[in-house]
Amino acid sequence: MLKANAIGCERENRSLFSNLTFELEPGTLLAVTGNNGAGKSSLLRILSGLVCPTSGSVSWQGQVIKPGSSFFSSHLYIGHKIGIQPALTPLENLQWLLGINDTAKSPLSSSQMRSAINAVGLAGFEDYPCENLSLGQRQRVALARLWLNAPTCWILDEPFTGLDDKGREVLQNRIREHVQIGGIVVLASHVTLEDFPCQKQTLYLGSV
Amino acid sequence: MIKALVCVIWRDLTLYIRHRGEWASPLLFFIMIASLFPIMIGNDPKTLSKLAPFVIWICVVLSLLMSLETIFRSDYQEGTLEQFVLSPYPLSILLFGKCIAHCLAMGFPLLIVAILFGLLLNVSEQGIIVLWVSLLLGIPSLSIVGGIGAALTIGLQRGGILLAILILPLMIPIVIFGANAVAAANQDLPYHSEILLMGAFLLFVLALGPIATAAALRVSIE
Repeated sequence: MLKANAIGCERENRSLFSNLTFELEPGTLLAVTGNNGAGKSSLLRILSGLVCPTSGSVSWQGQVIKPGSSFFSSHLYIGHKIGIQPALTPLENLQWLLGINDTAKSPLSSSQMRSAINAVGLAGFEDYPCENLSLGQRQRVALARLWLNAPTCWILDEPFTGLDDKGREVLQNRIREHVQIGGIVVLASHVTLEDFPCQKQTLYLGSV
Repeated sequence: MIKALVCVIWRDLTLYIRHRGEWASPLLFFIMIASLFPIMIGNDPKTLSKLAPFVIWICVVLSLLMSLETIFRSDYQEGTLEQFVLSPYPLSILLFGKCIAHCLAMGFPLLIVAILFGLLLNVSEQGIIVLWVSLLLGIPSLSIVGGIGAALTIGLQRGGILLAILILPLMIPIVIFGANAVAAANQDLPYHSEILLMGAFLLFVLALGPIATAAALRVSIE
């Protein structure tokens, strides 16, 4: 499904990784690990189609991804900058995020969004501006998208940042569920992934 | 696609309402500069009326420049623009939505303030109507052209002055035609060709501006 063909990445004339080839089938979790600065985020940005690789290409269902390809309606990327506007409430943030991402004909109702906000443990905060929420709570707002019409492929860059133990558990369960029903998850994380009893691959970036 | 466009416009208008201070400062800037002119020039109605079209148009351009500097900034910092790039909808459409919201939120108040100042500075009745039409055609053009510059400079620290240097030359034709149309109407001279040229310019930037903004933004995001 999601395939990296000999991709390489350079930053400031320094090669982060090169000739990286792998293919992710439905129902796979890919955990990207490595030291700080090894290129985990760069790899995830390349896989999501945000940045072009310095060499090689990324393809989805056999087609190289480029602006306008079907890949953009079947994946979701949450990076370091989570895309949550501090002046808007969690509900408003989800509304516009889904508005620009959802290609389904019937729009999601606000009660569905409220239940997603509930699922990430933010019940009661739906109508507070996000600037009054803590870092972890904002992260939860961004993650609430995983409960709403979630597409096949998730690319998550350090999604556990700022989450407490309970939040981690909820997110881990959600990821496990998604992989079990045939989704693809690419995860950059320092968290040990022993708790994921599903098909998983680990990619270590950097010199061994 | 329309749904996504409306969604972006709605979101941006909500943000303008929440950030009232940011929204109001270009307007206050306009009022300050425009009121300085009569104080400096003196109260001769004839001189004021002659200079008014130019004064108003200069103030419009400067206050729009001021507001354009921030049009993408918070979206860039918060990662909203990354989500725009990853959306299945064309990036140019989403950014066009941001431009429409900018026109609605900044352009309309400017339109009203500019006409008030036209009256204060003794512009003739016909001049006021032409001022209104020329701003109606000119503000969206300036906003779209400015959007291209803002998209190019978002990655830079203190990109504001660079933005001004980049896009002022592109704004000059609009300002010249706009101010001249008003000046001509103010003196009962024909003004139609200027207005038609401004309309042509607006159609031109409407067709190409969003695509250029999207291309500029993709470069900046990397």
